[in-house]
Amino acid sequence: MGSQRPARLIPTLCIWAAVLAGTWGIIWRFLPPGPVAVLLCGVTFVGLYVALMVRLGDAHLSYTLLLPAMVLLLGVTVIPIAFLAYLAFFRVTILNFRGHWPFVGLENFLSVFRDDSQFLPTLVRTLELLVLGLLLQFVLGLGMALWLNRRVRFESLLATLILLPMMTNSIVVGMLWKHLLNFYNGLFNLLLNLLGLEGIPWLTQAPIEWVQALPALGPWLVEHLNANYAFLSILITNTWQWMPFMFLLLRAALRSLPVEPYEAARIDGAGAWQTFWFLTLPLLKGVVGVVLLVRAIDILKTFGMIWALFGNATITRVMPIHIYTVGIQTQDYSQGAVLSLILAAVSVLVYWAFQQGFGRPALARE
Amino acid sequence: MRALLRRSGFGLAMGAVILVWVGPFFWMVLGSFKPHESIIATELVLRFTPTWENYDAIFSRHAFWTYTANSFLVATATTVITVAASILAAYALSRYRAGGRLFEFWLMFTRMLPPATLLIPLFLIFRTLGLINTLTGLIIADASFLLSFSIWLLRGFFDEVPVGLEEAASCDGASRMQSLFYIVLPVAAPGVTATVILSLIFAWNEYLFAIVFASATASKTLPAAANDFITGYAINWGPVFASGVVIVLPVAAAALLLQRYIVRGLTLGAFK
Repeated sequence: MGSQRPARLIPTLCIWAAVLAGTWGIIWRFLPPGPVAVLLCGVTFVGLYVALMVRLGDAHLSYTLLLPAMVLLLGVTVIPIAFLAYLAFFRVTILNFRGHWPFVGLENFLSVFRDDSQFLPTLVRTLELLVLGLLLQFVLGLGMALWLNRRVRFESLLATLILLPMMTNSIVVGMLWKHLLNFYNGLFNLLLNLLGLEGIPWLTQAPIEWVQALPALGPWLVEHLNANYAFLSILITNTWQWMPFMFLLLRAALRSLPVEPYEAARIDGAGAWQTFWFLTLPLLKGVVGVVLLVRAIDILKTFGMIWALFGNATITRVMPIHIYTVGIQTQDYSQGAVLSLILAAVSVLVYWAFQQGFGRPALARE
Repeated sequence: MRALLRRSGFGLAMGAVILVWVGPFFWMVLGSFKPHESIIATELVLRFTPTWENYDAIFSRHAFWTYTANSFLVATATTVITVAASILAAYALSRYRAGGRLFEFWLMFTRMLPPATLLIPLFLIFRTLGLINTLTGLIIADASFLLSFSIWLLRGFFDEVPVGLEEAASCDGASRMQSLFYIVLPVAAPGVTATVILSLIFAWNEYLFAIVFASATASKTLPAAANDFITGYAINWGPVFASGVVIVLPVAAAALLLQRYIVRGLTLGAFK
C-alpha cells in the first residue's frame, strides 16, 4: 500500500468510456433508442462501476473514484462556463435563440457599459455591500467573540440559538425582516412608537438624514453610495443573519489560542488593548483571512434575502439579481452572459486580493 | 458584591443577545397563529385569539403538501448524489492526490463562483434537454454546486484518519475499497454526518435554481412557494409566516439535536 504507482488518467477514462460504449452497444441491439434504453444503460453502467470498482488496482482506482465528481463538474460547471463565454461574443436573445446567432465580438461588453444604466450602480452596490457587510460583521463578531471568550453556562443552547439565523433560508429571513421593518405595522416601528418616537422609513429610498446632512460629502453619498434606508435595511438583515457565523468561528479560534504568550504578555505588563492589538490579532491573522474570505464569497452570492425584501427593484439590485432580471426575465442571454462573466471575474479578484493580503488562505489546500 | 454585579450584568447582556436572534423567530411563530387583522394592526397586538387559518390556507388552498414533498425529495436526492460522489472523490484526493492542480483549481473556483453566473447557460441547456420544470434538473444543478464544498469538507475529515490504520488492514488482506468502507468511513463518521446534515440544509434552502429550473406547481419547492405570497400588490402575511415556520422547523430541529455536527462542519469547512 505504501508505494503508490502514478495514477493514470487517460487509460482509466478510456476503460470507462469503453465500458459505457459496450453497455450502450448491447442495449441498443435489443431496445430502440429512447428514455427506456438510456435509463437501462445508466443503471447497468452504475452497476458495472460499483462491481468493477472493488476489483480495480491502485493505478486505475484513483481516477475511477474521481469519475462521478468529474462528470458532474464537467456537465454542470465546465461546459456551462464555456457556453457562457461563447454567448458573450454572439448576439443571442429569446428572439433568435432557435435561429442564427450573429458574431458580434466585444459589442456585448461595450453595450453593458454603454447602454445598461443599471450596471455600474449595481456593481458599486454589490461591492459596497461586500465591504460594509464584511466590516460590520467582522467587528461585531470579533467583539462578541472576545466578550464571550470563556466557558459560559448553557454553552450548547447558545450555540443552537446562534446557529438558527445562518441555517435559516435566506428567503425566510428576507420575508421576516420585510415584516419587522415595515413602516406601519412592523415590530421595530411599533416599538419605537411605544417609546414615543417617530417610525423610521426602513425599506424605502429615503436618504439617511444624518448622512445627508454631512457637509459636502453627504449628498454625494446619498446620490452615488446608497446612503438610503433600503440599503441600510439590507446591511442590517445580512449582518443579523451572518454575524453569528463570524462570532462562532472567531470564538472557536480564540479558544484554541495558546496560553503561554498571554502569560508572557501579562508578566511584561501589557495592557488589555496592547495584548489585543499586538498579540491576539497577529495570532488570529490566518483565521481572520479565511473567515473573511468565506463571508466575502457568500456576500457576492446574495440573492434570496434581497429578493424577498425588494424583488428586483432597481435601487437595491445586486449583481446576481441583475443577472436574473436581464438574463432570465428579459431573456437577453448575451447581456446576461457578460454580466455573469463580470461577476465571476469579481469573485476571482476578491479571492486574489485575499491571497495577497493574508497569504495563501488555508482554503486552498497543499 | 462586585462579582455578583458583574455576573448579573453578564446575564442581562446574554439575554439581550439571545433576544436579538430569537426574538424575530418568536415573532414569526406568533404571527403564523395570528388572524390577519392582528398582523396588520398599526399598534402592538400581544393578545389575540390563536388560529390555524394560516396553516389551513397554505395546506388546503395552496399545494403545500406537494411543495413540501418536492423539497424533501430535492434535499434527499441532492444529498445522496453529492455525498456519494464526494466520498469517492475525497478519498481519491486524500489518499492518491488524484486530479492534480487543475482539478484542485476547478474545485476551488466552483466553490467561489456565485450560482447566478451559471444561471443562463444552465437554463438554456436544461431547456434544450427538456429538464426545465422537472426535479431532475434542479437536483443535478444543486448537487454539482454542493459538490465542491462537500468534497472539501470530507477530504479534511479523511486526512485526519491515520494512514497507519489502513496499512494495518492492507496487511490483513483488505482491498482499497474495503479499507475505505470498513475503516476510513467509520472512523470519519462524525465528519460524514456533518457533511450529510449541511448538504441537506443547503439543498433544503436553495432558492435561485429552484425558481428558475422548477417553477411549475408540480415541481415547486417550499421557498419558492413561500415567496409567492409576496406580490407587488399585496402581501399575505399570515401564510408567509406559516410557510416560514414550515421551512424553518426541520432546520431548527437539526440545529437543536445535531448542533455538534453542524458546528464541526462549519468550523472545519472554513479552517481546514
